Amino acid sequence: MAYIRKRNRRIFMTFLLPAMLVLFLTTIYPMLYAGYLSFRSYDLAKPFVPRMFVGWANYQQVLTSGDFLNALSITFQLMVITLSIQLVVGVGLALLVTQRLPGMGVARTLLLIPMMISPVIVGLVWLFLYFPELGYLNYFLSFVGIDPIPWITSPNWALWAIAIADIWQWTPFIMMGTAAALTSLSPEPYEAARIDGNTRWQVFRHVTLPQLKPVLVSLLFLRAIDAFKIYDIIFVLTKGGPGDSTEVLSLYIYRQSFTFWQMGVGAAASFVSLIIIVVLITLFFKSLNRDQTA
Amino acid sequence: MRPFVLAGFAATISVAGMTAVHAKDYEGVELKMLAIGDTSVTRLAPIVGEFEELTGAKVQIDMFPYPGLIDKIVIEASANRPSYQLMWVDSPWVGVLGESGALEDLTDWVKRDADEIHLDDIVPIQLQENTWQGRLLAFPASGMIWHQNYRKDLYEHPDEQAAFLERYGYDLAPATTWDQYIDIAEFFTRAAGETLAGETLEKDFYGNAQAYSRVAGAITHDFFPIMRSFGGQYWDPETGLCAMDGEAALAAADVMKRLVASNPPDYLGLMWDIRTGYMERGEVAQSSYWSVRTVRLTNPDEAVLPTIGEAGYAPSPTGDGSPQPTMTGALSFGINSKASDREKEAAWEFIKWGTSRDMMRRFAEEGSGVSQFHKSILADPALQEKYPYYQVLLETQENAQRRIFHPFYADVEEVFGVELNKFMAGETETAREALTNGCTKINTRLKVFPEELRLRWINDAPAAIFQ
Amino acid sequence: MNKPSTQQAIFVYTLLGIALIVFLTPIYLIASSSVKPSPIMFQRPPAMLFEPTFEHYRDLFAMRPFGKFIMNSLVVALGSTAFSVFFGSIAAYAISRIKHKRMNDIAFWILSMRMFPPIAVVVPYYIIFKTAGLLDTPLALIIVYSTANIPLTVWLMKGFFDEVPSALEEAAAVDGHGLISIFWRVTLPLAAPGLAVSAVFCFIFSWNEFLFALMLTGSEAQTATVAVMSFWSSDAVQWGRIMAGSFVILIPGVVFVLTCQRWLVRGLTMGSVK
Repeated sequence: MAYIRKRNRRIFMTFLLPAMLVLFLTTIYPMLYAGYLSFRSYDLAKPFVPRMFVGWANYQQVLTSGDFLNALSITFQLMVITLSIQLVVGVGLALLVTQRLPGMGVARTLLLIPMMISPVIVGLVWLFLYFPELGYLNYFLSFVGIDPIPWITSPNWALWAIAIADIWQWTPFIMMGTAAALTSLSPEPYEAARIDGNTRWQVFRHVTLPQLKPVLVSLLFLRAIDAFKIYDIIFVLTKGGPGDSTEVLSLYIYRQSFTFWQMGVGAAASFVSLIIIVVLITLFFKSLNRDQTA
Repeated sequence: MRPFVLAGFAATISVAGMTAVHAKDYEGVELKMLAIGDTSVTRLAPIVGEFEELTGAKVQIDMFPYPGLIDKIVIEASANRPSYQLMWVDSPWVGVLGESGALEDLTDWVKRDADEIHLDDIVPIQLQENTWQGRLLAFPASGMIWHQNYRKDLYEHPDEQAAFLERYGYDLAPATTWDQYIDIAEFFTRAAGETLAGETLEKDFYGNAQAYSRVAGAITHDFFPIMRSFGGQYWDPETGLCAMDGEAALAAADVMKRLVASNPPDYLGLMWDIRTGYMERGEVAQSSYWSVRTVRLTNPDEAVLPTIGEAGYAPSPTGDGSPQPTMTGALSFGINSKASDREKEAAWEFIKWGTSRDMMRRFAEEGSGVSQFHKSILADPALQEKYPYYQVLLETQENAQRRIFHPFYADVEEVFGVELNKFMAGETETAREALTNGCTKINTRLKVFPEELRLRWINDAPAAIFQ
Repeated sequence: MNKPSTQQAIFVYTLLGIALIVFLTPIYLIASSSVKPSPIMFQRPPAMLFEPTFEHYRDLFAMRPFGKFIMNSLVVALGSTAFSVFFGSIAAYAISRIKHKRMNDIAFWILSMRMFPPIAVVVPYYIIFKTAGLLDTPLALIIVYSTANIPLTVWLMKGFFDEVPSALEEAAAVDGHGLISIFWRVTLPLAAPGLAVSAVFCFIFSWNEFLFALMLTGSEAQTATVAVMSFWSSDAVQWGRIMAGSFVILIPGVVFVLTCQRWLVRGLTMGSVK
């Protein structure tokens, strides 16, 4: 772009640097601390447990533990279920609420309310719905002749129960971001496409979607990262149960770091999960860029 | 915390019972308490102004959610300069906090002020509950016992008594053994449309409500008292390693598994008040749990049962009917060992004031509240009239043993929560497998320590305050 | 976009109606449970009709300085939002416009700040703030939340800035506008919906966060979310009070979103004028 001259480069740098500096300064110590811990045996609650350098033992313990691998697999299952449904429903809702009709602003605000509730409280609210005997959901379902479903009390259902609560809470995130993107799209390509006599679906697929892509990708990245860290809802709804059917990574890390106070193991598990998510996102990013050039 | 609505109310109540006259010795001292939003605290919080009147010390009580509170306490205790001088302590935490030196030893103060605090009137096991290696590290503010609650009105109904006798060959009465408990649970489990105490049921009725949820370790809180009632121990006295896979533990797991059939169908999700709620609404025949919730069974503002029936109370059943120990627990106040000397003394004054017999009597008279631990209060005829379960509380504490107090308590609750829950959910085939898994995990952590240390950790030395 | 026909309007309203019912039923549950008497909080079947009680709301404010906690939440959420949206969006603009292969790495590094499991850094943050004397102050939470909110803003705004047609900026440059002027007068207004949505997300995240708010605050800076959850005690989850609290703390969020809606609409009209 021609207007980017030398002088502007300096301005860009002053735009970029404060954010980078803040992030660097606020995270460097915690990261170094966690990194240091991950090579130590360190029990915060029990100073009488020897604190010493243990090399890669913590990492070894994490990587060879069935609990960690089980948690990893459940986290992925949950991510795939929730992200795909949130994306489809969220974009669909965004298309609805950006129609030029009265009342859309109100609808958009109302649909955003699930996001405004703290995830810990979302867990408690969904308990109201999920209790097989006492809950509302089975009560409502009984009107349409559906037998009680053991939402959070059966290992086969619990993951879905958590997925539903998470989808309920975070679909509005995709909706809101997509709606904002839709409203800032420039209208020219549409008119051109309309004149060419395309169907609505074709317009959406070939005009709207490509324009939405940068925002959708950002939204999806952000959701993926948060879904990877999902914790509060599960902590309240099942705490990983029944059995270990909803044990996710964050619960594993929480249990190691706090409940068992093996902070070294918790830190090592944190770094392993950081590496996994970084690799995942990078691969995703690469594949997107390849699409773009293709 | 500033006095709120209760302040005016409190002011009208005489403080004549307060011990001695404290000149404003602690003028200028400010104490903060890391606490919970529990009845042991919420009744005190609005009236801390009275303590300031007496002693000049300002007290601020910060209330946090139970999940996460121990984490916050541990982090606070690891800091060199304390933000909190007072700490709310759940009695199983005494081991980990005691071994790490986080709590001030109260033993000498208690001995010094024995008369003032009516030491000999306090149920001894509630004090023992707060000791670590014989030293008293926290003072009870609410003393619990695990006991059974049952539907007295149903048990005394002639039709039910006759039917029960015919079917089981003995009289219907509060269970003294777990086999009886299971019989009664089975007997009272009825579907909607069947008859209960002469009336047709509109909805299903269940025999018992026990907790099987993993949330906040709920399942272990029912499992361990049952294990104790079979004579089971947490630890092997020879090695200091996990003994929770022994015969008593297997029997307890078996009892819980057999009770599933007569439990409400959401048993795997039942925790705390969701479980007690079934009893409080009168939807089950019996339920055993910590006495902190028992008080609700007589209060129509908090429970449905008083309006449709009557609750009865009994000691928890045992394996063979002999008076085996039941289990206690205490919700207590402790002092941060890193506070300054003056703060510590003021904090001790506060503990004495907030847990005093007069204060406890005041709470009992005001209405529902803390679980009492003074013998004279539990034995008071007028209060027994109001709280019929006081007698059971008083009697059963004679036989009671304290809860787990090991520094690795949190590991036990978490690991056995998972393993038992897996067994109940059918993911683990047998109880033996589940319990062995649990013990293996615990032992992995314990085996790095010398046996000598392990044995010290399980040694419940008698409280030095009585010596 | 054209105005939809009546037929399309009916279709849109029907679908939205269904979505609203699904998404708002749990909210209705919060509201109804907040006025439900404790003894019938749970029962079979759930009590749908009952005489409402306001005791839970009364207790909420009587048993905790709840008003103060809401103010704390507001200070923390607004502070972190303002800070993050300002620095995040200018950084996003730079990342979007500088054509350099390192830029992707920088953007990714910023995003990665959000990836580390928070549990592992609670203790080091506690140590920092304890040392700096910032424990139990809103500033501590503003700092921590900004490390999560800046990456969010950068990534969202980068997407929005990427979509602003470069022709518009170049035209402004030809007219003699400097970079800052172009950013302020041309680009930012076009990306206003992005700003609005970033602000909403930052606000909501800060408002709802639980773990750090629990560990880094006491009575001075405790947030409303922690205060609501503090009705989870050792013997009970005090459902009525928690639901009443949840309902009360929804209100500031809704007001904030409604305020931001104006920007969304502005972006819309700007776009259509072009």
